Amino acid sequence: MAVRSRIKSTFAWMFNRKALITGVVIAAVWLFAVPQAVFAQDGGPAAYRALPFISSRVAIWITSQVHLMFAAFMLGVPLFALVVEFVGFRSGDRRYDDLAREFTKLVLIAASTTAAFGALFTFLLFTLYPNFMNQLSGVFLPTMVIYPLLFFGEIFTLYLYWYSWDRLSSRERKPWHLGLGLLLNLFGTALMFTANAWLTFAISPESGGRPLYDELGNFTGTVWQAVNNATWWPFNLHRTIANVAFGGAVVGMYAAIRFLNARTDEERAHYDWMGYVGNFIAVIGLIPLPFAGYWLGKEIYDFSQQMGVTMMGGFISWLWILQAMLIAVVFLSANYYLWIGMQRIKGGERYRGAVKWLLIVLTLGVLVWATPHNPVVTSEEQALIGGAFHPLLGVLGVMSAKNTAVNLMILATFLSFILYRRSGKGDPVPFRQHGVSARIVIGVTVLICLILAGSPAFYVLREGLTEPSRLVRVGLTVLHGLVIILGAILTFRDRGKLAQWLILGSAAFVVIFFGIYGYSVDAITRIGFSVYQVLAVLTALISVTVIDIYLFKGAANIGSIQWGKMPERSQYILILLAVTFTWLMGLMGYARNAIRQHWHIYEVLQDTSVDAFSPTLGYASLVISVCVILFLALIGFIFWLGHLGERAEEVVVETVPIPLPAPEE
Amino acid sequence: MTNTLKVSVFILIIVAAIAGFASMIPQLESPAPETLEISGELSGSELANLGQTVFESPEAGCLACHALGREGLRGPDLANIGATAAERVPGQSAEAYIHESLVDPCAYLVEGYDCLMPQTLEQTLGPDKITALVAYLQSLGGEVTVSLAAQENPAEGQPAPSGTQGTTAEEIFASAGCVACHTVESLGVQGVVGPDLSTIGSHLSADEIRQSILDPDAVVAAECPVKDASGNLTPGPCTPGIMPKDYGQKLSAAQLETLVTFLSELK
Repeated sequence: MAVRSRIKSTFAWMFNRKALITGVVIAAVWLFAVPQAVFAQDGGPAAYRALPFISSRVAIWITSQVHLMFAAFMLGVPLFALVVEFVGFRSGDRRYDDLAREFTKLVLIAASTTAAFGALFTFLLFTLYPNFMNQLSGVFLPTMVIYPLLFFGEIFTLYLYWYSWDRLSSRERKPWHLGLGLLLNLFGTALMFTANAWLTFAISPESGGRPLYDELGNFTGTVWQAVNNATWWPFNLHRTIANVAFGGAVVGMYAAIRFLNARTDEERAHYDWMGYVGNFIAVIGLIPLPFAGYWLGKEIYDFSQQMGVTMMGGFISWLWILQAMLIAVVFLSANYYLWIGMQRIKGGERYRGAVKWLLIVLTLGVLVWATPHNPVVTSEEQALIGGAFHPLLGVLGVMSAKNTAVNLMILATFLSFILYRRSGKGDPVPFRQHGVSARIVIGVTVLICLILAGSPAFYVLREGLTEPSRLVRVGLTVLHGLVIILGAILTFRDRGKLAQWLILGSAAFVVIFFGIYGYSVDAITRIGFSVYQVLAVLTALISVTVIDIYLFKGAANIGSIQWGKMPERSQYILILLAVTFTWLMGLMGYARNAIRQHWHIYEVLQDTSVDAFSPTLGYASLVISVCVILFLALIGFIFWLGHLGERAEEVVVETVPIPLPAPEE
Repeated sequence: MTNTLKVSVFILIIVAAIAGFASMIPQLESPAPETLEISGELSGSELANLGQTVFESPEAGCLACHALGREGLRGPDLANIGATAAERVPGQSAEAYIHESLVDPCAYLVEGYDCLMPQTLEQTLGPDKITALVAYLQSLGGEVTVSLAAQENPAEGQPAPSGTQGTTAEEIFASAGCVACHTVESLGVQGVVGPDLSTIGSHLSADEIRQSILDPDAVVAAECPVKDASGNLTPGPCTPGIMPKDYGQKLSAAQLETLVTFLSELK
């Protein structure tokens, strides 16, 4: 009855005669006008065709962006659903299996909308930009045959994965189900990589340093060279990580809305936990994302300095200030959510004092990251500030300061997570209780960290210490490596906490040192320093996490997590995170297309349409906002539809409080 | 339902806040390449109309500094330039004055303004668009006297066709118009707008020089010649936005690399 009355109230407008007549008239005009306008155009060969009421570019922009948002959700969520299901299988904890199932249900109901937008996008591209698509399909024909097969494989496996959940739920059959999940992800990844090839080819039609077109504009490469173009791999990596983070954020928002509308404590507890997992996944994805972005940026510079300069110093340069602000919101939201979460754990109050310091580091990081280097100023303003750059801010607006800021923000976020994790824990467990296997795991971790951190320094050493900056790079790498080894020894001697602080301190020192030293060296050397900063942070993250796992494995719980005892504002933080992430995705969509400027295929096929210019950020922000609202409205609607068919008893929950370890274990 | 409404409003506020912020920061647009064709017999008013298109185009960039009906950001008001042009320099017609102001903008400076205008407009736009610009500026309060036929006659002393010529560094440096602004002692040229490049190779790497050519505002030099009150050149801050940003299009890859190599060897 309740469902029926909700449907009736939602569609009440249909029973309003005036509204109904207006709706029918608008629909009739639209259905009449669109085919009239499209079919009235010359049926012969055309470089471009137009739609009524909306420009071709905006139509393609909105359709592709909304499709990409759905696709990112559909590709990202199965990746962590599989991991969660595997954790449930290994631990025997049914809650994880139920959570993975709920994630998959969201993917299932979003699949058809993803496909519909994908089809609309394809039709519009072939209709409105026939020349461009003729060129692209001429190069990529074999992959365009494979693509639908991969899509079929993905959808088929998705249905199989979902509908076989009960049949393959026993311990003996679960590996088969996990295998299906793996297959689903393989199909999804292959699908994305194929589409990425088309997109990146338009940005960088070059492979292995060799242009794929001759001077007359003839394609001279192979299909594989076109696929394996200059920016394909960094783009694949960046998108995969971003999809996971985006999927986590959207799942977090779904859980937050369900939490806010929950009627029972059990429901609240369940969706609080689900929101926590969503946020956790979003943060895990967010941390390596800047590193993948640096790689993509480097490949773009290597392909074309002109394109690189357009991206970082040309008309798109202000986009990165906006991006910095959005990522700052994401970082601050994720941290704030963890800090609020610590309040529902008895024992979390021990770390409350650290929050203000973390907030200071994050705020300073945001301020530095969002500092423009080259502000647009009038001659009067320039006279007032005493030059083209602000005497203080000009120094902060360069990559040395920004790289330092972002690495310290990552370390601060990681520290927030570590403090959250140990909130309900008692004293660390003596290391000898974990046996030999723990020593082996720590040893292997140290080895991996040494190889990771040491590899660039090894190359520098091999080429010779011909200048001071080379000596500094090798020296700091050796120092950081020694600290990690010392950390392992201290952990074996039950001084794991000290080891963690030493490693984190060493990483922060390396980051700050290279940040300051970067001002006294040339640009190429300075850019190279970012590699050492990133590796110091990554190795600290890996080694401190592994040490932390053994420190508190089997430790006494001094306070269980009171799932469901979260204030409402925490759920709005999850929503803020997801909306900002979605907008960020839209912004990056604009960035990767705008860097091509007036080229369909960069420096090969010129855009001669009326939309050949690249619009301003303000205009782009309006289109992106429309995409974001459309995506959120559609995904909200289909989730609501999915929820309609859900019976109350299907929501699998535990009683409150759930006296179980935090889900990250 | 109340929660759903609250969440919807919250989402709209977030989206509006982000879009609002994006609209408040400087708005830059990347224009499509200019395809304006000026040829044939055009009346003065037709030429002036085309000139207005050029005037407003990002390629010419006039509106970055000038304005109509008010003082520009860095340059004088041009609302009545067609009338005042003839009075600026004794013995010089309005047409000749406006043309000179476009191709050699520092030959005469309006009182209260420095020599900031790029001296490479001729190379950037070519003679036809310069003529159209002259026609448009003449039409602002004056009579259009310029015509395309006049600029086609070499005897009139009109500029050579645009485009960067040459294969040696010295030829490219001159043809690209670098000499109009920069000083290079070894070449015996002295510019009074941009930074002195005589020892640029000892300050900047090849990559930084390349970046400065392709995207001059990415990093603006600290010191440029500036005229003081008595008209003497003294070191002062450089102004962003002066150097043309289209050298990526005007120079071939080989010319760019020749120029970069030449400049990096100036130590």
